[in-house]
Amino acid sequence: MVQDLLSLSDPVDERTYSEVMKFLYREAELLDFWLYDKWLELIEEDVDYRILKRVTKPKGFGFGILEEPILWDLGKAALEARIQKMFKSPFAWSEDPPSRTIHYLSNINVFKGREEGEVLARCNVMFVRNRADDVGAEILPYHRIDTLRRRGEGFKIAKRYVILIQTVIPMKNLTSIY
Amino acid sequence: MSSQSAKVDLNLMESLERARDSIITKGELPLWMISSESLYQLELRKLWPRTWNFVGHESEIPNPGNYMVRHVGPRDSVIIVRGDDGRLRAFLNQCVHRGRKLSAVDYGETKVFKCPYHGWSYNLQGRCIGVPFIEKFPKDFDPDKNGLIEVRMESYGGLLFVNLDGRAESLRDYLGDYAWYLDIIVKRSKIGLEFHPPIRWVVPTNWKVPAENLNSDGYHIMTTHLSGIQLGMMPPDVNFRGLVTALRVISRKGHSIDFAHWQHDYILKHRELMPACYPKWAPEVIESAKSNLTTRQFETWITYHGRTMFGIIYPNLSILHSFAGIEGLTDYARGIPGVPFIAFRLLRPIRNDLMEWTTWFAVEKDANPRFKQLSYRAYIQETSVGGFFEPDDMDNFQYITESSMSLKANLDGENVRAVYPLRADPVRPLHEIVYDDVEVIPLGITEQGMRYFWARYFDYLLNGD
Repeated sequence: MVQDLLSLSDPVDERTYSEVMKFLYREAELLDFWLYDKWLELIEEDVDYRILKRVTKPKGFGFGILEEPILWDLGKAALEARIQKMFKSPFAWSEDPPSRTIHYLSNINVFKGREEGEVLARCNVMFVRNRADDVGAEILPYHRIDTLRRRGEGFKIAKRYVILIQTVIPMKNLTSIY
Repeated sequence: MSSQSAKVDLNLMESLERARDSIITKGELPLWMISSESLYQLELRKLWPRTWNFVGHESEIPNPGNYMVRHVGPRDSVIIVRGDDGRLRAFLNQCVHRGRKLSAVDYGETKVFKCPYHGWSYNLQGRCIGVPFIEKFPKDFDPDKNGLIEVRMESYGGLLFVNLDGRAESLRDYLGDYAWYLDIIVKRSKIGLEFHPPIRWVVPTNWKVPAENLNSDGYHIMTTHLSGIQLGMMPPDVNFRGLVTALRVISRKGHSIDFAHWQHDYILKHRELMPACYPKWAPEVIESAKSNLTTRQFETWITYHGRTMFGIIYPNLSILHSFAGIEGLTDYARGIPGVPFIAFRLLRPIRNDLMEWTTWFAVEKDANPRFKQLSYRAYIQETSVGGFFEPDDMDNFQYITESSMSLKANLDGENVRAVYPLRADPVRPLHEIVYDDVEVIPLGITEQGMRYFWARYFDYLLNGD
């Protein structure tokens, strides 16, 4: 599945590239400023959102990206539940006080998706989190593969695969949307 | 050793003895001991080498040539490999020439381990089979005396444990009567469990804070995990106060397992969901359990495992066997309940204020494929690093560790304490008593398991130099 998404490489026109870039930047801004309901408006009903598991294999045995994820929200209701539990609930201790985050995006590559009306956006993300009076910031770098569907004037996220480069995650929990 | 440090050591030993007495008789523990650097140093000598340390499961390396690299305690690395003879062995992950770590992978497949430094090679049985320029070595150099250093490893129900000093009692004796209850999970299927590759992350806490929590702290669930519980993926006619512990099994050796289920009227109405919704998703597992467990074990499972079995194998292997409603799938109104899952979690120390959390998903090998998929989803939804339950524990652990490091805690050990006051009386155990090291406590909250956890800890640190 991941190999397939990594192999797509038919280019899109300048206008599409620009639209996707703007979409991704705006989406990251919504997350970093805690506008979760607005963010949910950008999500398809059948969304498939995963953070994939990564193991170290010897040379010659591939990327070590496993099909089995470490986080998997299938369907918009699952993401709504995540947002409810992590951010909205008055008992959401792990995000009380809330994390302050920055999603830095770069290396945005946009290609034609597999299906009609879909585009594939691959990018690198440097996710940074700080909370309470912790000194310094936790950093989580990852590749991200998004399948976006054209909806009206814009897009919605149909699939998001997060590919970590670390096999031991350097954070005490993953409470954000990546 | 200078007289100054001898005096400090004596003081430390005395305070450990006082603490051991205090935890059992008064249920009190000086907070500073949790993250103490001196106790951490003492653990390096007196605890980790002497316990059985979990390293994984046989199913992770099923074929000859398969190997995995695992940490043991804070400092040691071992290669666990399946030989040509099908046997599993554990070797110190280092070349015997000059100590270079041989492998830095998680999982691999090989016929030979070759050191990248000077090229010494070892076969899957650990035998040294190649030394470049061997003809230049002294005549009495014998490759057969230069095999990989084997470490003692034993297995129970496919669970692999390593004992570094080679002197621990057998794994079976180490488990004692607790094994009878552990069998309900690991011996339920004739062909055993399969473990999936683990998820690993680091948490800024001393390992003992989560370890004691996972030894029978049912008390915290309704507070810490309220936001997860309130997602509504619970059966609708359960009231939140209704989650009760039907049975607490605690071993004086520090192990524990709690059986938790619902209030009585819910159980009477929903017997068809016991245990843990297995009847709906994997009835073949129940059939298998019926023939592989003893009658008494099987009945214990069916009767007491409504929702959750959780506990630890001492000192730091947590077991969590629960069920979770899957968002987008579970719908009690339409008869689609939550899905059961099994998780094993190792709380490995790195420093006095840092540990590594490693979690494995386990499932009965002979369960149907759809169940295995759904069970995995339930497992990561509930308990993974980004699950609906796990994240809320982490601040508790970190903030206790930090409090434990306060100057005030270290100055005033008598008054800045953790307290474990809850008590309940044991009843006649369900298992046949062989080792007589297990207490069974019915309905009600107790913190006795945690008191035994600490007592055992002090026993290790105080004894057997």
